[in-house]
Amino acid sequence: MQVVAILNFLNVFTKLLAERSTSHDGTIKLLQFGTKAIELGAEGVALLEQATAKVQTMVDENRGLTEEEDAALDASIQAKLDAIAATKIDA
Amino acid sequence: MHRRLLRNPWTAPAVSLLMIAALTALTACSALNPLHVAQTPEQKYAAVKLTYDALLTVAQTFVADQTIPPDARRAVQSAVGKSGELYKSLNTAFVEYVAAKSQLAAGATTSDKLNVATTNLATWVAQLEAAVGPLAVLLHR
Repeated sequence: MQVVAILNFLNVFTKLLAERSTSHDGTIKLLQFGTKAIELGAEGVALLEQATAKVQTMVDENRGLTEEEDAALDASIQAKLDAIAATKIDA
Repeated sequence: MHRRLLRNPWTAPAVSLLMIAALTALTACSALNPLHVAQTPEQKYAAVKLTYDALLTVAQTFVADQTIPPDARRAVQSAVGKSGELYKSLNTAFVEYVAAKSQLAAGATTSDKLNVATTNLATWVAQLEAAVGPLAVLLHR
């Protein structure tokens, strides 16, 4: 599974390379993009660490989400789904 | 394969560094899977929702960031849109699971009904997990 994910990632990355490495400007954009990808990757790792810790607490306490926790999580997820769907992406 | 890459001598080393850093982050993500920690159906439900919420946080930043190429942002927006229906089904399956569990505890139903609800919940957990995997890969583009 992990190998497939890495191969998928490499595939996407090499395609991007082919598309964006034709000029100095393209290289700078690629570097900016790569930096952003790493920043987001680090943010994702931190959030997954927090999520794993929360689940570990539930396992230790032999429970699942409380109704309040579930409702708060639902609200958080729905707000993000709505915001992502509403984002306009121009060419 | 990428002859154009050879025209700029600075591209290859810079890209190598980026790939190493991004792959390190990706590997770390794989090791941090809340679903690997969860044991009960309730905890697996919680784990997949917490994972989904975490990825949506990153996805929201990603799609709104105008420094990222539009095609990559659209791909993430589309993947998130498709996962929304799975998320609704997961919630419905959990409500049915909780109801079946309560009914069994009250002696109002058989364990067969709870088994069906548990299997159904596990199916939707797996489906959302499967949808979240490609989303995580897209976010590393």
